[in-house]
Amino acid sequence: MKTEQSVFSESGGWVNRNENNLGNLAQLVLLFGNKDLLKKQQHINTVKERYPLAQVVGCSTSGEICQEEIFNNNIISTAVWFEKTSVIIAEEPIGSMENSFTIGEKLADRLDREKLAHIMIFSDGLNINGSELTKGLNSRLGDRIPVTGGLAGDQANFTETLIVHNRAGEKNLVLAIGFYGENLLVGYGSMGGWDSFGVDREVTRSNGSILYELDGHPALELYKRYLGKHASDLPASALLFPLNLRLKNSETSVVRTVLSVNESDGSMIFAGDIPQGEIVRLMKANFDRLIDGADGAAEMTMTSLRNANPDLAILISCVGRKLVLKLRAEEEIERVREVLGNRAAMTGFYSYGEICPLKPFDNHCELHNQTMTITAFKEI
Amino acid sequence: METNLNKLLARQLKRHFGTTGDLPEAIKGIIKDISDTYDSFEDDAQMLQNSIEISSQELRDAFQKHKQDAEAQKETINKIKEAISALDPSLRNAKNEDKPSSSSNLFDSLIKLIAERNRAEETLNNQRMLFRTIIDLIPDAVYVKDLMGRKTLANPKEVQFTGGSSEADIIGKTDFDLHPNHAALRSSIEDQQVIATGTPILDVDGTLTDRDGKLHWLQVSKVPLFDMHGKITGIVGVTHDITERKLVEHELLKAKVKAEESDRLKSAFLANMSHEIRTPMNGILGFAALLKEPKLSGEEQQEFIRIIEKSGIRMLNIINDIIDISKIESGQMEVSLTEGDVNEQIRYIYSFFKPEAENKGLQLYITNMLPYPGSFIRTDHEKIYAILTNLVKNAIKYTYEGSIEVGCEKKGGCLEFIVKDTGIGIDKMRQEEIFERFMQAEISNKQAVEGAGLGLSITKAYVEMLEGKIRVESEAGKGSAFIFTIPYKPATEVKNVYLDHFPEEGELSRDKKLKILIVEDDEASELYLTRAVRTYGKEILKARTGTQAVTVCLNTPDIDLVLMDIRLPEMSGYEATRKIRDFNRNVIIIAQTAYGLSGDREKAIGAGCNDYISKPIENDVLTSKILKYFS
Repeated sequence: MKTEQSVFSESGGWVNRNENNLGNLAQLVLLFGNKDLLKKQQHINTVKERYPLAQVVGCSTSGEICQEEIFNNNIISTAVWFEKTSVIIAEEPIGSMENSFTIGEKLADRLDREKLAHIMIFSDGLNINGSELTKGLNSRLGDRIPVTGGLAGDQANFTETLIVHNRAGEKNLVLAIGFYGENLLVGYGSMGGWDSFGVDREVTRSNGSILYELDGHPALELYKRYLGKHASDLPASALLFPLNLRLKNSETSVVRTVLSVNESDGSMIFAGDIPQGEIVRLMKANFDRLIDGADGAAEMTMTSLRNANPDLAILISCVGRKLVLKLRAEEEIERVREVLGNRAAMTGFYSYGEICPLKPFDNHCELHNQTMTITAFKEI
Repeated sequence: METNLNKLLARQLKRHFGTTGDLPEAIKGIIKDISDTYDSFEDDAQMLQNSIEISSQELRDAFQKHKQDAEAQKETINKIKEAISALDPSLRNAKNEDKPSSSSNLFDSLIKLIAERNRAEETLNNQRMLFRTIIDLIPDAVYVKDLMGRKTLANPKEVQFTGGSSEADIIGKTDFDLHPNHAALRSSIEDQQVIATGTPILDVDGTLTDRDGKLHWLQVSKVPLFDMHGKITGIVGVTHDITERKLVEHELLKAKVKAEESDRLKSAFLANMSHEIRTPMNGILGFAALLKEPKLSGEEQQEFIRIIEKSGIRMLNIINDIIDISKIESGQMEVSLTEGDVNEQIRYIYSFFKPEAENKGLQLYITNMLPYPGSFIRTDHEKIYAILTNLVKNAIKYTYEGSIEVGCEKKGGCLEFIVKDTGIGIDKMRQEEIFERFMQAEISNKQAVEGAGLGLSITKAYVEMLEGKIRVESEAGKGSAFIFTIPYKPATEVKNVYLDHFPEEGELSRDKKLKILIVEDDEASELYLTRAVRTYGKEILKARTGTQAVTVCLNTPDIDLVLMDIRLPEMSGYEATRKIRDFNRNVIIIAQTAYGLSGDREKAIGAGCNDYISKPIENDVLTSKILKYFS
């Protein structure tokens, strides 16, 4: 496996980050970038011209990752040549939020299972119920194929997210990238590092991913109280207080972040389900714990790779982390690098949601929020 | 730029550099980053502080709420404890020891109480079932009424009394809803009395007409129903239907009266019988003694003999009647159905009684007879004879002038016989009594005529044995009509079975005198027969046994007539007849059978006799038989 990267900026155009000579060899080009840039077909054309035989896939972001650096308002291109692995891509448009489950089912069905090693999902970040999407995938894959991925972002604007598949970015699209072959090792890990605090709160009224009331009071009211003057920055500022959702009949819990708010009825729309009757707790950031979370995700990745250093790592980290860590955000990337080793080409993006199994070697994928989620590849 | 710098950073810069305005351009970028970072940290710190405060407040609120909830729960638990302590003595003791009961003790107590309650409920249900089963099984009507007289419980018998179909029909209803007003009123007065006094009413007799109009005799008991505090809440009533008992009592009373009456009648009858038998006996013995006197004139002798004969007949009649009634009473009288011509029987009766009636100056008529061949019917013809004979005999007996009519008509499915006279008649009051046994014996009527008074009761019994009915229509002083009916059953075959009863007119001519063999072991009977047939006989032979009879017949082939007794020593009359028939088919053999035994006639004919005659033999009957074969 070989990779090469370049970064586009409006001021400097495309700049190679290393030797660029894969050309016709590249089968896959990962493109993470600013929403407005990705809308321009010319950028896609440029990439296609450089890697004529490659599938160009990617999405808009809340921040792009290239090696240990975080970019904003750029495009990061990572071309990949797999020596013994092939890539098949399935694409599914999003009709409405209600059929997220069906989209998951359809995508899973579109990918032949024979020699299918791994699936990565890139999805529109706003018009999807990520929980339903993963349930749909799980229902068809039967926990036999691991799935990782993320939901596209648009800085912290929550207005429009795009998916790229060989053409200029479009919203309302979900991609499933199937990696085929027996010589590909795929490692993955996901961890948050947020601390739950305060009292347990019961979800007293919700519908799917729309949360109306906690303990009988409007959820939005609670958030505004905690946010204080930052309430004016909703919904982005709500990322500072994710919800810890204890999964029914399970010892594990997942993190949910807000995608949008509805002032008229005081409801909040989350990236995944907030089932009525469940118990949630507010979470808050602790810089060190967040950084430790990234470290944990990397350790988990290494475990699932049986400690083989990967050639390529795709880091998908939640925009909420970036908002909290601010200038220290790159620290979490550096920590990942330390664990994964110097071989790996690292790319990725800040997202509105992450998809990954909870444990190494567990193929049952879940939607996460506020995590560092790593997917690492190595051919043997 | 200075104004945008973080205040802390601005102070630090001022302290180190004296100013913030003239910093070198090269470091302005980094100063800006540092300022932002300061701001960011301050901001974060403030938000964290804010969060901690809000969260602390929430936790305090939660704690307060929890505390309040806990207090409320504690209070609730204490109340439950108190409630359970009141119910469970073991817990009360624990309280006395001032040991706080743990909630586990509390739950144990609760579970115990619930179990006890369940057991109690089960026991109660079982008791209810038992109570209900017993109540429903009681053959008497059982009910409970509340103070307003409304039924709150009724067993099936009570439901039946009220004409309802189920308990639900009468629950909540009063007697006024369920029974006629007067009955309800009486019952409610009783109820009020029981409620007011608290004293039971026991075994009071009453009656009730149910919905079907059937009258019930009842024995009513009502007791007050007390609750646990001794307060009367209603009444419990038990109504015993004694209708059956009353009816039986009534029947028994009637039977007793009848038995007494019957006893009295029998005594009277015996007294009368004694008289009736003694009277002719006196005549017989008295005049037989008188006959012994040597110097009697022939006329006197004839007169005495006539009296003796009359007395004998009278006694025989009485004895015959007694025998008949005995047979009827003991159920030995049987019905022997044969086919025959009733017209013949009426004609025979007419012929038989015509002389007697005329002797008394009375006219005897036949009014109606049945059209041929309808007169051939199936019945017990001997009984028809007996009935008609008795009725006509009575008519002659009680009629002193005028006429007697006898006839028969078909009415519907019945034959109606009528014997009507212009005699003394019967009082309306006595018209039913006359058919009762021994009745004449009872009647000290001046007009009562000699006789045991059994004739009509025998007649009635015969009619009833023939599935018929008899009645009398009479007016005192004007006459009587005895009418009896029997079912009309046409004969399957029309033949003149009873032709033999028809007496021919005239006498045997002298040259047709007969050679007659009288077979009779009883001397008196033999003498009587000899006397009776003397006028027809040119030679009268006698035999004492069956064997002798056969021998005489063998030796005397020209015998015309054999009067064959059946009960004979050595060889019965039937046997003798069979032997005689072996060699003589022409001789007329008439069997003399024991009185009235059914089947005698068939046996006689079967043995080879031409005819039979019942003992005691009446002269007239014998004459008609002889004339039948030899005129």
